[in-house]
Amino acid sequence: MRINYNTTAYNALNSLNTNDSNMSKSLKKLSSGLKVVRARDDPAGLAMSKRMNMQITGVSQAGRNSSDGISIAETVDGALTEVHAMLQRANELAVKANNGLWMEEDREMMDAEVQQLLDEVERIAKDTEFNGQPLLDGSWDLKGYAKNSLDIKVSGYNDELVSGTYLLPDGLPAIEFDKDGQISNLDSLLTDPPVSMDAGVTDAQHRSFSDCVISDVKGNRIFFSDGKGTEVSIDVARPMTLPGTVSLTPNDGGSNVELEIRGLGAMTLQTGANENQALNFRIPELSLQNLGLSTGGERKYRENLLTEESSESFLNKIGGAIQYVSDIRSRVGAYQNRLEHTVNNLSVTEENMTSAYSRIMDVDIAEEMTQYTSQQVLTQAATSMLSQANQRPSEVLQLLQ
Amino acid sequence: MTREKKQSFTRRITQANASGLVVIVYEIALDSMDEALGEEKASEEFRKALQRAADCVINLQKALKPEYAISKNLLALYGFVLRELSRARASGNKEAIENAKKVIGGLYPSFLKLAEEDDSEALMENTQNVYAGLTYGRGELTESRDPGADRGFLA
Repeated sequence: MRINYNTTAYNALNSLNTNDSNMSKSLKKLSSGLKVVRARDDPAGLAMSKRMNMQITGVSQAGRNSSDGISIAETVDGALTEVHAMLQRANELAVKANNGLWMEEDREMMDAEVQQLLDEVERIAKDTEFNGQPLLDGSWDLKGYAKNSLDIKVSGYNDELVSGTYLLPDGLPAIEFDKDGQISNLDSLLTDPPVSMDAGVTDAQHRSFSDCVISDVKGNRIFFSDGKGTEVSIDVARPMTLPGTVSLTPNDGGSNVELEIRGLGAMTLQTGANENQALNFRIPELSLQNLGLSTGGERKYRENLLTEESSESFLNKIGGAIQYVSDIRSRVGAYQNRLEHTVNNLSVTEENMTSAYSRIMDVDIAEEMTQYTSQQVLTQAATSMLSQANQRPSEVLQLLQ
Repeated sequence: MTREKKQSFTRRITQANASGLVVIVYEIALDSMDEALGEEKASEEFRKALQRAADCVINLQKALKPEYAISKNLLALYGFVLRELSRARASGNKEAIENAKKVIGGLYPSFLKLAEEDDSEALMENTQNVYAGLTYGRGELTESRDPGADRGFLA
């Protein structure tokens, strides 16, 4: 990469200096202690300092929030790159297990490796964090809960479902669990006619999700969707003794289970200087259950390669798991694009010596960029310091804890 | 990180000006990455060292003022580093740590040079004056600190 000097900008600086002697005074102030104010400092960047107003302050804070979001996205994507690789390896093992007549010991060995990979995926979900906040454990996903039932938990819903209170309809069959803790009365659940999660009350809080059917049942999770893209899923707690039955009725004597769907939980990033310029950044939970590789918290509910049947099932499921991870990465990538756009728009320097912000994905590009930027740091000493040297000692001391 | 290193960094932080702080954060990051490279992949120390390195880069990224053009390049590079550190933490991939080190190690000399030329005052006030020199104590070589340092409370 070559460093080109922006002669238009320098001409502008020269004329500014001639016409406005205060400019050179503020230049000196901004240099804050540097012995030499280099003439090659980015003039447009320094001219920025003259425009001190609230909007700029708001904009730069928004810029900082957006860059925060970008770094969070990078942290998530880094972890998911490795998860992807692990799932690809599990896929290879599943293909192997399905091709050939294997002895029990061989299957156990292949399964041991697969279970270890799945353990690692679970660990990554708990471990990945940014500034002490876990990122992949569902804390940053939309929250919902069942208000009046201890047996039901809202496990997920998509953006299309409007926040508010929904009622689970009457007349849903009781949920039967088999001895392994999986829901067994699939036939009656999946062929139920469309129901409506309706409040029967019209007010600002209560909502209605009409014409939804039970579209899928996985383990102890029931998915309701309307075929038009809106979906909500609930987890039903397994009864103490298996096999057993759980009915979807409230614990408080009311007539319907109330599902509280809140739009909260997603990370909100203020991306502009004004109200309502916020981006809700959702990061779904990376659990084996969400990946479809497990139907409960314990190992006994996990997919495995121990038999021919379970290997076939695993091979069918692993594709879905890889897709789920790809979906999260696409979603995070889309957020990152929006944030990059915001960062580029928020920067008010008119004459840029560098191109707009873009992600560096490649090691070689990173090396080139490092060389280029370290040169830039030296040649634009004052702006480099203005741009980077803004830490407080207390923040740096925190790093040593 | 050893106790001595922490003490050494702490002392430098108390004496540092704005550009000095940047250099210190870079050094903590590089030190943590070296520490991680020397540890077992699955160990707690490995993860702690990587977390500290990531926290340093987050600190650098948060301090960036986006209105300056150079911030965009630095942000892109810090983003890359965070990604590589996150990869390393997820899977124990040490090559990812090397990639991260190349970037931070490449930028470090420039910030060091700028800090050398910056003669502004330290940011922290009311810290003790540090005089360079080693004092031979019984079984130790540490900088001597005046135990009776008077900050004016009793005065």
